[in-house]
Amino acid sequence: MNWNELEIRLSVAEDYLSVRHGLQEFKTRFANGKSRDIDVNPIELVLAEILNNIAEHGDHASLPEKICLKWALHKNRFSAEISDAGVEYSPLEKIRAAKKHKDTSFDNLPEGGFGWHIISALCSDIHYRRHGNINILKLQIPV
Amino acid sequence: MEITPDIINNTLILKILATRIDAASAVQFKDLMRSTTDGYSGRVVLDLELVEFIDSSGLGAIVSAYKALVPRNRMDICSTGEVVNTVFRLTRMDSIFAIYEDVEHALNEGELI
Repeated sequence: MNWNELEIRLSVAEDYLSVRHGLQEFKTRFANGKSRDIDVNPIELVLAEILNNIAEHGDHASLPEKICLKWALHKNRFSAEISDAGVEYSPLEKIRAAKKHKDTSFDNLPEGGFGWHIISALCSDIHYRRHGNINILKLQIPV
Repeated sequence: MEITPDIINNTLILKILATRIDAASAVQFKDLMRSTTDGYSGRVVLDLELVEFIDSSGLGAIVSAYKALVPRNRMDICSTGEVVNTVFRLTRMDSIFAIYEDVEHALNEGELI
């Protein structure tokens, strides 16, 4: 299996612009590397949510210098591994919390927390572990 | 990013001149929406024809702009692409916002997509 690798360097807290540039680089390399027509939109959406989440939750002291994105394309699924040395997070708890919020009345309309809804809806598998001070998130997206 | 306002049949049409409403542009989007709709009382339609990509931060910014309108003002959406439709559907925000095929359908309040 051929794994591709891309590093996204974060220079400041909430460095969403670097994430955006990283996604652009990913899309270019993904388009050049794939041998068949695959809709990249769900993949970009999931990666954007995860990468922005990592960039969002590091303050100045705990900001990871870089996020490492590895990916591979299989017959009917896209696999990715995203690792960073930022603060620990727990995706499964976030997903559970996001699914609990069902009140969509105007006053209680949420302005955040949509990301984990999107991730859980588009991914077929999500595995997270903390290894030392490194977060490692593995996921699969049907294609 | 820019927003061009246009009033047609008492409806404020806001065309978003950007290909992305994402985490990198969500704050700018909210600020532009606030300054463009400040004091306006009436229906608002967001024209997303040029928007190719939106993430959860962009969606949150749209919800925030909606909640900042004069209470009970309507905000509808039109001309959405594949990614925008996916995000609204997966987060069930398509049950909060009426989404029309284009500006004409939005003005006529015709069939939803």
